[in-house]
Amino acid sequence: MIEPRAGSLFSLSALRDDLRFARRMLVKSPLFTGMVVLTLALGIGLNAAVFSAVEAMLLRPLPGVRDADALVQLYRTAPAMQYGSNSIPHFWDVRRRSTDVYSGTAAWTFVNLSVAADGRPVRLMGQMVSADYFSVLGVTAAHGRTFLPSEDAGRGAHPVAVLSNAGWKDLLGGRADVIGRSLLVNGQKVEVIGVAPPEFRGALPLAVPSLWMPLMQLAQLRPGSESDFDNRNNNYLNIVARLRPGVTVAQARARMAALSTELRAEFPDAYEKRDVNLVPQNEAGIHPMMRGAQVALSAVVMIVVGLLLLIACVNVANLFLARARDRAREMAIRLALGARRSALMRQLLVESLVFSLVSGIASLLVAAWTIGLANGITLPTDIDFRPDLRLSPLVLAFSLAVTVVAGVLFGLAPALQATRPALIPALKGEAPAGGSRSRVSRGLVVAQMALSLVLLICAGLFLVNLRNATMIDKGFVSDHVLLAEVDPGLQGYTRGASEDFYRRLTERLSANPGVRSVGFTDQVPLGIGSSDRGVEIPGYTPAKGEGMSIYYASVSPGYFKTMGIPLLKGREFTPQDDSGSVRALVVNQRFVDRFWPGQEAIGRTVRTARRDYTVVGVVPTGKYLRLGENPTAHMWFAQSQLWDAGMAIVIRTTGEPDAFIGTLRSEVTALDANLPLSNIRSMDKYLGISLLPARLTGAALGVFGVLGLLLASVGMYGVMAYSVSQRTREIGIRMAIGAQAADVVRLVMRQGLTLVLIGTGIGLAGALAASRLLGAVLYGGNSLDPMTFTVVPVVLIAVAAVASFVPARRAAQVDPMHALRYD
Amino acid sequence: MIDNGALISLSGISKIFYTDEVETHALSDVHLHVAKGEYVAISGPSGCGKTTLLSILGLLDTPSGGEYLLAGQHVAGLNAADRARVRNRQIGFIFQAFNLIGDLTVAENIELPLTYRDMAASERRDRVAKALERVGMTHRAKHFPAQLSGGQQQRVAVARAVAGDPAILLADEPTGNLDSRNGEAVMELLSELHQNGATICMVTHDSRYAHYADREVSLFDGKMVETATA
Repeated sequence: MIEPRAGSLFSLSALRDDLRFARRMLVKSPLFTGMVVLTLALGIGLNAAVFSAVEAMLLRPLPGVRDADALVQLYRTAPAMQYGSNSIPHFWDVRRRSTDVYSGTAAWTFVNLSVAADGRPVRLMGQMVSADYFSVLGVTAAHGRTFLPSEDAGRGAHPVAVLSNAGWKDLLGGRADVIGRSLLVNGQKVEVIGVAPPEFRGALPLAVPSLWMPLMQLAQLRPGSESDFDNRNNNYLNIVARLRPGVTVAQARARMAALSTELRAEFPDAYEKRDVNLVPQNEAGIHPMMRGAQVALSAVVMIVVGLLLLIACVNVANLFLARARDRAREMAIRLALGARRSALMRQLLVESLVFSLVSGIASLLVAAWTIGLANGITLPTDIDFRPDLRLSPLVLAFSLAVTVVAGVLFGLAPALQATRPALIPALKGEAPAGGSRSRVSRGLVVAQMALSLVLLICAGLFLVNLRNATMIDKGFVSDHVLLAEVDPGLQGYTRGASEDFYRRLTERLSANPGVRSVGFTDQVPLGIGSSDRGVEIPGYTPAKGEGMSIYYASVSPGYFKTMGIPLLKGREFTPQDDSGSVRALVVNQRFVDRFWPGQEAIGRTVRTARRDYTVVGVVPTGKYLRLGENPTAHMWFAQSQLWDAGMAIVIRTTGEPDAFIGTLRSEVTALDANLPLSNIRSMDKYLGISLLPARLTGAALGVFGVLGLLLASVGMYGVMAYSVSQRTREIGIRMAIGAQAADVVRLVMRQGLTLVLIGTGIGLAGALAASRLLGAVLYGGNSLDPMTFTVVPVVLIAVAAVASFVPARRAAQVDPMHALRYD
Repeated sequence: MIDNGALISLSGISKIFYTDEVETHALSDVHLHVAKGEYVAISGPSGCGKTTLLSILGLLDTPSGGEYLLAGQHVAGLNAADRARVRNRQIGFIFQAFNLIGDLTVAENIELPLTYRDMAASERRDRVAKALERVGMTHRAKHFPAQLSGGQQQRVAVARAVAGDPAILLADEPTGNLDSRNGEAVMELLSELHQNGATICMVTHDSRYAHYADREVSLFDGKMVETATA
């Protein structure tokens, strides 16, 4: 009589037995275990590291901030601008009139500061914030206090600062008696009233300021900007607000729409075609404008690193398949003794999960090392860029999920295969035929080749695109250019003194034989900042909704020459374009094509900020914000006619720019020993910043591509070596009846290359599909780059050919006598 | 004609292997009845179908035709899971090649078929201890198969076969990998089990050992040709 079904498939006792056996399998063959753990740890660890970057950029709530999900960011919109900054009066209006939806509204902006703790001042990045900044974010001081509500009134009356943890350590060595100490900020005494907790990194966690000071110190922090308290057109504040409990984002948006209408009625000039754009903090990321690119880049890297893990899983699956052959007898015995196939499947999956969990633990080392490497990246800027990637609970949970999925992925095919042994021959101790296992193995090799090809082509397209991006005509000559930033205004210089400083510095530098020319600009192209102004063009009627805000820079005479920007028409600025003369403007060709197509531009008038400027020169269209940008209109003002004391010094050197840094420092010191110079670096290094995300992505993809190729070739070698060992007898017979070594090599190579070609065909189809997705994040490059689609398959085939040649040559050395005795 | 009193009853059993277009008749019209407590030896030359017959008896393989009753139940048409359950509960295997699992200790090997039942660990331990005692291998319980001689390994395999109290023991050339001294010892062990009530069906091509059985059936070219009683 057939007895009822035996106990549960997942009984604790059975699982305990399986775990005990799995542990035994783990230590049985250190080489096998080592290869599996190394391969998987690499795949899982790199996935965890990449995910930690995604978490830091896209998923992590603001660190050190209370209930960050209740925060929203408020931007100003205008035609063709979704995420504009805000003016001080606008911020005050929003704060005062939105108390029904927000429990608090705060403003902040980055400011360049000259700070001296002891002795010589240094340039560093601080933030100017409204006094309620910390209370809105829910941050209390680790030492001392944060700002008081009273510090939001009384212009210039609150020379106090809260240091960030980093600022406290960098400026004051982390000394305990920090509260009440004095700093010189932009030449004026400031009292330290508090230190923020270490986990708080400000409202933009990637860039930690050294200190925060009240908005009321505007005159000290941005000399010459006092009028901004009353000017609705000077927009540089970021606004963050906290929703009242129970208020939804939709309700807050409705309130902002109503507020825009109110403000438009009261200030029609300032609010024409302008609205408030509310972005929930958890959707904003680093900045909502960059979110699309971040998501796309993250997706590409995650997909590629996922492919790498798949390749690793395929390799491990092949190793387990080989072991399944050795364990065919064990499986047959278990089946003969009454094990159900499902029980064997459970046992083998428990084994693969144990291997994968051990690999998962090892992968934390790979992830921690990679994260350490990423956290060590520094930017040559004043911004204290700290990516702060971590093995957070979310990253650990992700790693665990990846580990389990990997365990099932690589364990499933071998488990299915192993639990179908040829029962009778296996029990009699006869070698299994191996045909079925070989088929699965070969299928896995084809999959591996296809995956590798997709991965390598994605990486190749990205790298080719990156190279193209660096070769794009930027509109200026970047080599032999040294950059440095200086701001005499921050040291208390008057405008006259500043102008004198720049004139004398130009003379001193120009007299140096290592210098070809010198210029100044308040906006170096392709940096992380930009300025734009609304313009009116007499005789030109903008289309409905057409954005009339044009990017601009204020530059000195000699700037265009120094940057290697040729003049198409007219002239560049001269010392005569000063505050007393006709206001001059240089525009680019795109500006001319847009407003005066086919017409003469020289002598035309452009009106901005209620002042008329006359076009005196036209230069070719270059790149200003991003290398991948479409041709964009741009204009340049003469420094004397649109004064900005803080400028970047641009020097074209005869030799290597870095070699001139010492001379530059000594020339500035000769004029003012206390004037800090900052951001000194060659133009080429500076341009690296704009390419940094792409370079990092490209580097990661390159590394992943090489690893994928390596894993695929190891997998190919393993399968071919196994195949040869299975065919030893056949090869012996062939050689006994007259086959030459070359015939055997051809035979084995043909088998290997057939798999490679099938995999390449499938991979090319996959890569074509992937390249369409990739096109969205490439720098306007060609996602069907023929060179990549040719070279990558050729390289892959060549590597695979080598991987199958080694076992083929070994096959050709088979001794027929030995092979014919082979059991 | 089915003998309902027999523990094993095969009627008109055939087995055909198909390879491409070639049909190989491994068994043809085999009738065999084994009573409870009987000791039957199946003998015959190499390739006569002994192992195929034992595989069908052990539910490791299914017949192409005929009827197979085990303890009064039709078992020829059972699915894989039910066949596994019957093997686990009713049949004890002893193989020529011992077929112990090298990564399990002696005790774990004996316990293995019991782990595929819903049996308490304490009962499993008791049964393993008794089985070890029956074959005189208690002192080797913690050893691994590779640390044992061939004869010892086969005694462990016998212990594994009897630990679950099966209805029948199927032995496939149990002495084939042993020298004559160890072979004799294993045959004595089987006789002892038989005397204690075990039903045994043994395949052998060695006439010396066939005589240990109550009855000897001979196969030739897949057909049962002779039955002799000891």
